[in-house]
Amino acid sequence: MHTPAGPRQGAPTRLLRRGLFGSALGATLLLSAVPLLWALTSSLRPDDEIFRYTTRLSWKTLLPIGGTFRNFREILFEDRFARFFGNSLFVAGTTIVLGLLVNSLAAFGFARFTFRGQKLLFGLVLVTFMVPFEVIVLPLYLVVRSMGWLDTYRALIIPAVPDAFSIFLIRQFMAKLPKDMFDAGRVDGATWWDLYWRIALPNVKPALITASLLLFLRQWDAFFWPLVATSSLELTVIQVALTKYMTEFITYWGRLLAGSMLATIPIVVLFFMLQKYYVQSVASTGIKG
Amino acid sequence: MTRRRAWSVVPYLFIAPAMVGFGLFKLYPIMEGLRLSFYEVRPIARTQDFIGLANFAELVRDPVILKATVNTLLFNLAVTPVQVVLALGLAVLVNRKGRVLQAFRSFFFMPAVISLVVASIIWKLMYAPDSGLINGLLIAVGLPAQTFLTSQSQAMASLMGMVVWKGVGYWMVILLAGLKEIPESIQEAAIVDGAGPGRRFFSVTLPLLSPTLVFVVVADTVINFLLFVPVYVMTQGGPSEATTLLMFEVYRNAFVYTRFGYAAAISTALLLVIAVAVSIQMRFLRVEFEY
Repeated sequence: MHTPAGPRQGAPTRLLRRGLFGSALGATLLLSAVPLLWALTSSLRPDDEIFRYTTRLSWKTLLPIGGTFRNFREILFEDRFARFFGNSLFVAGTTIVLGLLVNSLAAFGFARFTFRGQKLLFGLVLVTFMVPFEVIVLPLYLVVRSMGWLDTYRALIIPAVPDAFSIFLIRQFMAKLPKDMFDAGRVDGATWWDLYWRIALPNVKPALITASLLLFLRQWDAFFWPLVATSSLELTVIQVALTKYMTEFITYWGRLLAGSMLATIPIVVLFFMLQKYYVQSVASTGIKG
Repeated sequence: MTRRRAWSVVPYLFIAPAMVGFGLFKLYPIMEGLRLSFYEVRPIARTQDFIGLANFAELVRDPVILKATVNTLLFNLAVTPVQVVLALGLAVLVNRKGRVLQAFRSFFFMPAVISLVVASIIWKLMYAPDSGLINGLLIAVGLPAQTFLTSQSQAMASLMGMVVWKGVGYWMVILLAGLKEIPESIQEAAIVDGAGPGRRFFSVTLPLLSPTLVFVVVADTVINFLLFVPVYVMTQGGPSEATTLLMFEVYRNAFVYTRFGYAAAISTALLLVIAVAVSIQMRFLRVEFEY
């Protein structure tokens, strides 16, 4: 809608318009990219060099000229960052496996059956979607504590498994599958489990990918819950580990930024690999949520 | 037939694992949180006493909570409109086909891709008074260095700046999806009728985008009311409560002072504030876009 080569528009107006358009894009690009570029570059520098280049700006400030991986080596092998990274990977991976199973089962139940209490039960799922997680952190903490799960992997994984958004998404895909597919299976004597496992699941792969991505991101970025639910170093996840660096090693900028980059690289890689699903998942929260 | 009306245990078996999980980890905690607001909880003795509205009576007199409430409201009044307007502007700007713009869109989205913790850390270092990038930049163009997060008067604005930066790309993507739903034929018809770009934006794009826009405003408001991570990472509420927000007070009272009942009451009060804010927005926005 910005290409209005209308009859009344002269060349100078169009030129001005293009200039404004270009500078708005350029300014936004700078604002979005510079902090990230600076963080990446600085993570590849010893601390004294970080300070040198940020206090006296030069063309090298944002370019990793003569970079070193020393910060990364130090946090991974001298500190226990490999462990924290692994913890987050393990928690996110397990959540995906369990979450896909539990939520796709529920999605199948809601999509392919009509049963008594269906509306009420689906309404309850909707309630869990509407109430923000932050509000239940404290009571959830008390529940998990009374189960004796505090400071365990279970505490990090299990509460994140049932997920309303995954159910909505997968249900929507399953409801759209043609009835004939399932009827044919019934005729062949397939059980409900067969229909779910052999027919429904393989045909909703895009929904499963989007749901996995969401579950992964939620667990990888999780901070508030792991902060309160775990206390031992063995169970520290990556985002919490970073903030511990912040208070204890505030002067070690290089290490802190190297850790931040380690926390960022997996999700940026995922973003570019699964961009289509990623954007779709964000957009569908807006339109269908 | 996959859908049957006769009573069968099968569908319940399919939904059971998820429903048990929701009951235990979502629905029960929701009720429990409301209930605890009316209790005094002693975490060591593990006893609970019903104290009626005493928690709420205390929190309206608590100067820290009062400060946090004012901060939270100010934060929302400033951040949410700025985020939505910028996101809308960007969405309209990049809503065209082309590989270059596709790349721009990806870059604009980058701040939304990184975690809130990482964004807070990067900005905390950029804001550092002595060796941060922003002061380096200010000095380079001949301006005086600022104190940002360590200053009583600048800390809140600095926090807001980071949150705006982090959020705009996310809302842009949602608004872009909304813009794509608007049929091109309507825009073309408006061009034929001689409507300029400004007129088309206000008379065609905005009204047709309003369902998405309302969603973005409401969702952004809710998220901004519940903000915790930036405060925890960047300021811990300081200097002297200048940047404390209600969610941070919930955290502090629950997990630092272990006053579970009082923290639950703050949380309940916050939910009420959000409900009021959202219902005001709904009424306001509906009127504005009524045709």
